[in-house]
Amino acid sequence: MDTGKIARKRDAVLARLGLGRSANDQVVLGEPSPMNVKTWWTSGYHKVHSELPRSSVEYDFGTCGDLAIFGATSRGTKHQFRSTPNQDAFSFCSIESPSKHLAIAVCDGVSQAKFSSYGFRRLAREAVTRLGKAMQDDSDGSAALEQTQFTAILQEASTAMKTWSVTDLDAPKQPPEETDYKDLSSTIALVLIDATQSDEGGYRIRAAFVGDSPIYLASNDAYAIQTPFTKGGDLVENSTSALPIKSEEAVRPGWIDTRIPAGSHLVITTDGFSNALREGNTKHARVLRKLWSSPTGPVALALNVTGIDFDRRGEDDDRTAVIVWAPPFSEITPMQGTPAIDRWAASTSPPMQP
Amino acid sequence: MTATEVQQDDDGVQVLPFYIVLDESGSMSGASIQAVNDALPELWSAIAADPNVDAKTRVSIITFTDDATVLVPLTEMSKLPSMPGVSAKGATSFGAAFRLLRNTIENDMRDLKNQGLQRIRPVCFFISDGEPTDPATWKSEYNKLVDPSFKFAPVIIAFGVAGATAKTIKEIATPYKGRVYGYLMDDGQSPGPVLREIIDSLTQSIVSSARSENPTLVVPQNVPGTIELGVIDDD
Repeated sequence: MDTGKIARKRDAVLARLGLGRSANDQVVLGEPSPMNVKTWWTSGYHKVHSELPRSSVEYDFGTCGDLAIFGATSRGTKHQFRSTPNQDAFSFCSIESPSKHLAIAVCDGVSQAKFSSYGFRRLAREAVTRLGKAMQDDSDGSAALEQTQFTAILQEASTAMKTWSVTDLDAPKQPPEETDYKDLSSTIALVLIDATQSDEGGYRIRAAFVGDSPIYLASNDAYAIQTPFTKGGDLVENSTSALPIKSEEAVRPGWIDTRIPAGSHLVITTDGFSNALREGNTKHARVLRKLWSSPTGPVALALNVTGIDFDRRGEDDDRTAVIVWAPPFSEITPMQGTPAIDRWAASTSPPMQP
Repeated sequence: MTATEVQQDDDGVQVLPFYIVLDESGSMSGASIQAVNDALPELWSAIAADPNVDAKTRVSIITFTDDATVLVPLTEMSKLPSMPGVSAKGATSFGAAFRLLRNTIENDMRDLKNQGLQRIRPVCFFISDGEPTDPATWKSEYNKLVDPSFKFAPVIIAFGVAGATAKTIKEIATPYKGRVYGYLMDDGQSPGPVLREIIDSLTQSIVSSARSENPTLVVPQNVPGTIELGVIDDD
């Protein structure tokens, strides 16, 4: 198999989309970053993190009911340069009773928070676990969790993330009573999706969010943001709400209740995508819309071709995207359509050199 | 909500503009101006050395004596071939400094927008070693700069050494997140070393701001050789 020919065909596909590749094989959106002009093993810019053991890249995928879901997080270049770990996290699981649902949490740790690496992972786990339990405890079996129940879940998760033992895995090495709760700060989007189509059509989504974790629905050839857009105006005013909060304070999450239409998809991201996507109608949003138009496989290629690990000058934050597709799924992905690439994609190991 | 028909073009990265407004009057001669000339190249190289910080910040240097001059136009430090030096001469016109700063910010914000970049509120680090020699007129220029109707009014963090007074430094600094940040050289200190510390603190502030979430201004903290004149803003 001619691997050079495969690479040239893939580059041709990217070129038709108006995209280039960085030295580290990322899709380049806009002006390339100096961080990726050289390969990661020669530039000196991409350093192994020196803190808690954590992968630079994590992904997960699967189906739940009618839905297909893929999630990935990638360590941003600001952390690679400084030897610090990825501060984004996502978590999802299927809920089986009383009816099949997807529970998803996407979290972004606040950079300056000393223990945000622990905080955001703890928050994601607490929120999804409690959401699953609330569904199972729902007495009338109608899965009628609404805004007040989501708020209660986030309130409990906020309290829970402030309790640990110093011997717990990856926990801060100082006890909670000696720790400022702000040192755990993280945003969260907590999302529940019905995995079977409703009588009204589409798949119901309910989401509660604290801080910036934009949620988009595919719309025409771009996206439409579903959460409040906070980056408009003459000047960007960056401020972040986060959890945990003081025990005596009340969590006041944002809320959306909408549907994924059949054949469409939902995207939940962290702030690392917000410059590129904005309200969902940027030129970069249109590119990502093409790349995310259908489930992509094999998963080993997904980060590369889906643009989650994109390269762009000034975009150095960690980025995370969880994509949920509702059937019917498109059979053609941007990377398919040439036999050599299809064979390469179907292989379970890299092609052998001739 | 559905996607709008019109494609957005304002999807550029966010940039933090920093303006260092520096007293170049005759009283700065000797150790003070030497300290500035030693520290500014280090500021330049520290920012340029981190590609991410460099991409998200723009730095300008404005100097003032009898008049004011843009010594370094707002730019990415990696694109500056070298850091120019400063020299001490003339009087101390705060009015000229604030007038030029306002005009420069207005033009620069327009240029950044034309480049498709998203702009964060500018930050001004004001450094002086004495009182203004235009006491009757500087305030009106200052008020035009900080007037709420000027949509790009900067956050001003003020530093004073030698003959600067706490009263004037506090008048110049503007509120940021409920607090006013002004720093005055402590008793018994020498201006040269303190100016060096001030500029090192600015460097740390710029780097930390670019590295923060989103990015956001990280105010200089604990500047050696100075006392913080921080005032809780009741407005």
